[in-house]
Amino acid sequence: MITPWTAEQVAAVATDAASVAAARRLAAPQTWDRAGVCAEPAVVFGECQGSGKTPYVTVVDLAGPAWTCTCPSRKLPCKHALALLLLWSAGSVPDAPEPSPAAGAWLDKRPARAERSVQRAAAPRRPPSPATVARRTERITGGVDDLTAWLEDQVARGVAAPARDEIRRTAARLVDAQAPGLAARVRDIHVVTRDPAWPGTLLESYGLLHIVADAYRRADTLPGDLGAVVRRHVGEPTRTDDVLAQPPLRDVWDVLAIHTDETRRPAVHRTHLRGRTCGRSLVLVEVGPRTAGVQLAPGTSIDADLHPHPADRDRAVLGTVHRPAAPIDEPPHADPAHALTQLWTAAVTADPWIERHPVVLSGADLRRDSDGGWVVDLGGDAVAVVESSTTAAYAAVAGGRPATLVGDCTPHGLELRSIWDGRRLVTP
Amino acid sequence: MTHLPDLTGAAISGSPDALPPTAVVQAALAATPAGASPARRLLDAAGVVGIVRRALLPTQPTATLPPAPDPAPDVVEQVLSPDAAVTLRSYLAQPDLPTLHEWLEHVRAAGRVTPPELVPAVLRAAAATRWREARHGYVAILGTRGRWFAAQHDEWRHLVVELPRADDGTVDVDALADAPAWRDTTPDARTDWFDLVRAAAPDAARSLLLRDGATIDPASLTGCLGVLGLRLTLADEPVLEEAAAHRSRSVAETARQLLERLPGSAARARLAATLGDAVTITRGRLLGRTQMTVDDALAPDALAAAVGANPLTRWTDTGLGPAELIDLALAAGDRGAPVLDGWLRTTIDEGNSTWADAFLAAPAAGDPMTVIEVATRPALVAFWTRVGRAAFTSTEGVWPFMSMLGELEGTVPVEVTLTLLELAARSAETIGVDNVRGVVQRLAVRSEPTVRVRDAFTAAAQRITAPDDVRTDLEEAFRTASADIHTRLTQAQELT
Repeated sequence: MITPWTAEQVAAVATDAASVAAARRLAAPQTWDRAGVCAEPAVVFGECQGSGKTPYVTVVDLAGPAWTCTCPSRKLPCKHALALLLLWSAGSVPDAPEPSPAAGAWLDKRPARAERSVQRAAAPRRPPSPATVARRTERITGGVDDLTAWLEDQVARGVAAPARDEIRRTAARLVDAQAPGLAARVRDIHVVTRDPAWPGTLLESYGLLHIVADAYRRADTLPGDLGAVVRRHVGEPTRTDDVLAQPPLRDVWDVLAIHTDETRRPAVHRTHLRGRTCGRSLVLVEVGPRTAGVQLAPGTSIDADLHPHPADRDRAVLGTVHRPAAPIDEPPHADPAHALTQLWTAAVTADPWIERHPVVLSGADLRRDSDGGWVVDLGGDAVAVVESSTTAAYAAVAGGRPATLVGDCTPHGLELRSIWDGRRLVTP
Repeated sequence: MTHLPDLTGAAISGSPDALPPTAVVQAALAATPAGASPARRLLDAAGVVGIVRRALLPTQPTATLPPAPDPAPDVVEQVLSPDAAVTLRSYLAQPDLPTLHEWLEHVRAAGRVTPPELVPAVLRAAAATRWREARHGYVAILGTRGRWFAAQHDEWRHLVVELPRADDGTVDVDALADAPAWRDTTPDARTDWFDLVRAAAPDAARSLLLRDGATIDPASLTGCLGVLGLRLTLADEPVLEEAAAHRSRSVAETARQLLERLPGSAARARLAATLGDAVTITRGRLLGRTQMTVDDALAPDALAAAVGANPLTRWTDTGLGPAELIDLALAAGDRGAPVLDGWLRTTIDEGNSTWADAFLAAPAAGDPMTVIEVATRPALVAFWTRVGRAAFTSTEGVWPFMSMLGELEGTVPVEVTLTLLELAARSAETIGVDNVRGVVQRLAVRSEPTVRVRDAFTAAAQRITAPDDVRTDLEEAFRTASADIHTRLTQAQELT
């Protein structure tokens, strides 16, 4: 017998609260036929009568976790998978000695698929040949030269708000030149004309682009990791093999937050891990469907190897997991709140184009400013909290007392992701 | 706050000569290769300023912040279980109003409160809803942390009531009147706050209106009188009498109407007296018929109001029962209609279940939904069974029935649900698939949530009589309804 997930764990894998609400309406034994949960292989399965003649066959591989359902929904997991998990969570799915035939058939395919992925992953990938690297460098350099010329054109006679078409064309040329990082930065240029300082702000954006483009030409001569940082911002890829080749950092890592950026297509998931011993925050970045699943749920910790990214000191790749996840039972390692400005300055020094830097701050006092916004009192100075729909929830949890806050520091202030309330990690 | 050069002038002119002569800019320009174009020099300087600006987080001195509130008191109540918190999130994301109220009642009865992280969302929902029961339900589960948090925010302050006590333990009305939620807010927020005061301390609420009724804005006063009207007692009469003399016509009119609906009030007695002998009941003797005579001295509206102001005993003292009296009014045709209206009002005002039962049993005597809350269970069972059976005979018949189910605030008795489900399972061809689905959906939220009812939905799904092409669709509707009942049954268990 396997321990059912809690409803919280089920909700954590849902794409949105509406999916959970829809799933709750289906999470009743009457809705399901031939439901069962099997310990080996760990799978929950069932058939839900939908509006069609044939019931939807739903299977959840708990080891992944992974889900499949014959319903037409494009959400993963769909409401049927969530409902089945909620039903199991409520103790209403009977034990089964083996998976149903439909579940078995799907599971049979999964190892084959997983094996293919493993084989693909294990297959020695040849690093690109010097000729390939040279061709790529040449193309990128051409794109960088074009960008420099374009930037000089933009400022030579005084800046004007660029047309969206022109932005798109410039970004497209950079994509063609194999510089997707620069292309993304160009696409992110936007002008807030109601702000009277917008010309200066736009000029600074151009200036930052100009500096990274200029630095790319001298990347080999830049000190320390800065050359690798510049190449990453331009868009040169880093192979996972190269990251995994980095010496691992083994620690007990507290999973403190998962942030999904839905504005990107596909969505980008950032999982913030904090080492209990090393006291370092590292972020696992996943693009597209999240595969780490409940293995890395906020509020749990995991004994594992993380391989730091050679060109991004905040990022890592998960290596060997020595002990599976267990609930966090003590406060996470944190830096004092008053150190935030130094932490951020150090981060920008290492990577001048950094957009966000993961932080864990103890003794952080959430306060209102005179405009009604939220700030974090650093002791003498206060830094703005980037407002979101959940900001007030952090203040409600803190209750007017200093708390341990988890978030991302950005050039505009602190984006909050979770809070330690003294007993548990809360992700509003 | 960090001060860095403003590059607006240089950006507009496109010239590095317009750059402010700050150390950052000078350093940047010094590193620019000799002979570089002005545009390049400008970009170099702007890039360096941009990086420095990024490196220095924008901050403001703590001394400029408003004073921090006192920390929240410790949470002494038990918060919702993690599973129940997931349910609350679901309701907040997609409120299903009928079952929401039921769920909030479960939470309140279990003495559980909202986890702190959901407090702002609950406050937002409470402030946004115009459904009074939901607002009271949300407020009831705020707990210590929720009340503390609401008190810090202008937009939510009216959702919490702290009753200041005098030395003798009574509510200090002067201090209560000083609350920002009463003194300095919008009419809607003031009314909502008054509603909560009224629920917590009715005497204090009355004293508050007597104290400030003449000075608060008419919209607020009208709203507060409306709150009184939800559950009037004779103790409210002085407040209403004072408001009836208010300079605002709408306030005065609202107060007068309420006084006339208040059994035992002087205004109601005055209104009752206007009836005079407009309605007389003559008891038949030997072969003579008992009959009602309604003269035309009063207009229909005035007649209904005057009849409604008289106690129901005035009519039953004739020796006739409510059913017989209703029959007499029905027999009087159009002239009896205002009399029936008046009796319906009095039935509600007096909460008279005997009369309510009689109205439910008389199909043509008026809107039965107005007295449904007052009726006894046997009368309700008979009523719902009768209207339910009639509903399944035609498409035209089912619409009023669905409308009744929609506006029902109570629940449909179990035995009625069982009967209706059997009818619904066989009625696809008579009333149409969509109507069957509509009835089933409404029954899922209006039926008493019991195991028997849940299983009856599942069983009825097996007995559907319908063409093959729609049977699956209907089965799903019955199964989903069964799941809804199951959710309502189990949601109380997950609270702890």
